[in-house]
Amino acid sequence: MTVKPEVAEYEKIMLKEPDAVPDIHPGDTVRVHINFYESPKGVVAAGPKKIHRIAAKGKISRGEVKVERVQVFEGTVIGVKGSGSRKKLTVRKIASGVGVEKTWFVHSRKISKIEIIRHAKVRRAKLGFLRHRVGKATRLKERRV
Amino acid sequence: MIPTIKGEKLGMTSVFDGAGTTLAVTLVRPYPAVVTQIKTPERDGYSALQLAYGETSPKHVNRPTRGVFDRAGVGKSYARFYEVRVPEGELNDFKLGQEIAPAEFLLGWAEVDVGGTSKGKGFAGGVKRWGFRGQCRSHGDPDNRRPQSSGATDPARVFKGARRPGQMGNAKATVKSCAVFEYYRALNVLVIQGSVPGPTGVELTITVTKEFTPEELAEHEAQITLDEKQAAMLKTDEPEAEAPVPESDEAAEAAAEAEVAEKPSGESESSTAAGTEEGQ
Repeated sequence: MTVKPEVAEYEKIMLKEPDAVPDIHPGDTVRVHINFYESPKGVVAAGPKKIHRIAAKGKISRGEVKVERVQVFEGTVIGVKGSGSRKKLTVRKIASGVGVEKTWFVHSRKISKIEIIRHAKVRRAKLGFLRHRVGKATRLKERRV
Repeated sequence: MIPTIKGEKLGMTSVFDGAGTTLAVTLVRPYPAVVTQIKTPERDGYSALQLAYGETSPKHVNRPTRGVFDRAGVGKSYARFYEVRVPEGELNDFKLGQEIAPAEFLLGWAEVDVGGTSKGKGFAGGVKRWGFRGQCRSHGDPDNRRPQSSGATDPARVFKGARRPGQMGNAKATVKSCAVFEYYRALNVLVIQGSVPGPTGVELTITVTKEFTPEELAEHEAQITLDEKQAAMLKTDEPEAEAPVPESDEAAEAAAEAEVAEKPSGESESSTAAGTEEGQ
C-alpha cells in the first residue's frame, strides 16, 4: 500500500524515539512491557465514541498519565505488520499449556519497553506454522548476531 | 468563515493518546478557494457565494468560464466551482476575487458532515448489497447466494424499491457528525475521526455541524501549538534534517503564537488536571 507523503509526515509526530523501538524480526524472543494506566476515565473516555483533540491529551507528549502497573509478556514474535506509526507486533507464548497471542501497535503508549532476548533463524515473515506445533517442535534455531 | 469546504482525502492512519488508546483517523487536505460571484437576495433571490477551487492551467478554461474569472478579477485559473449559502448579513465580509484560506477557521470546527463518492463495488448481488443471509452452503445447494423470492404473489407484481441485485457504491455518500480530531496546521491537514467515503485522493465536501466554544478552542489551540513545538524540536534533533523553508517559517510562526497562547494554556491545563483528580 502506498502512503501519501502527507500521511507519512503526520505519522512521524506519533513515533517514539528511535532507540525505544528496537529492530524486531519474526522469530525473535521478546519481553514486552505493557503499561496499565490508572482510571483512564478522566483522561480519555473509554465510553464516548467521539474524542476531540482536546480530550485526547498527550498524543505525543509522554508521562502525563500515571502508570499504575507494568506487565511483562514474553514470547516469540510471529509477525510484524505495517509501517510508520501503524507498525504492529504479534507475540505468541504458551501460558499454562494454552497458546496466547497478543498484538499491539509498537508506537502506542501502551508499550513502555521491548527487550529482545534472542534472535532465531526463520525463513518466512509470518510464523503461523508455530500454532500447529506443540512442545519441543516450537523451538527455533538461534541466530547469533 | 464559510460553512462548507472542499478537500482531498489523503488516507487513513492511527493516532494514540497518552494512555495508549488508539483511534482510527482520516486525513483531509483542504483546497484553497476563491470567490467568483456573490449572490444577493435582490438579484438572485438568495444569498450565497460561488467559489472556485482546484487550480489549473489557463488553457483548460473555456471562454465563458474565463469571463467569470475576469468579472471577479481572479488572475489564476480554476477547474471546479461550488456554491455556499451564507447569511445575508455576512455577505459584506466577502468580496469578489477574495482568496479563502481554510486554515483561518478550521481550528474552530468540532464536528463535520463529510460527503463524497463511495468506492464502486460493481454489480453486486443481494448478499453483498443488502445483507441477505443466503442459503445453505453445503448439502449440495446449487444456488446459495440467489435473492430468491421478490415478494408476495397476491399483488401480481414486484413493489417498487424491492431489494434486488444491482450497482453498488460509486454513488454519493455522506457520513454525518464526524468528530474532528484536530486541524494540524503545520501540514494543513484536517484530521477526522473514523472513516469517510471513497478511495484515497477522492474529493470531499466537508460541512461544519458543530464548532468549539471559545474556551475549548483556546485549549485546543494551546495543545496543538505545544505539539508543533515538540515536532519542531524532533526535527532539529535529527542531524541531517534539512527543514524546507516554508515549514521552518511555519514553525517559527507557531513558536511565536505559542508564546502568546502559553499563559491561558497553562491555566486551563492545570485546572482540568485538578478537576479530574477531584472527580476521582
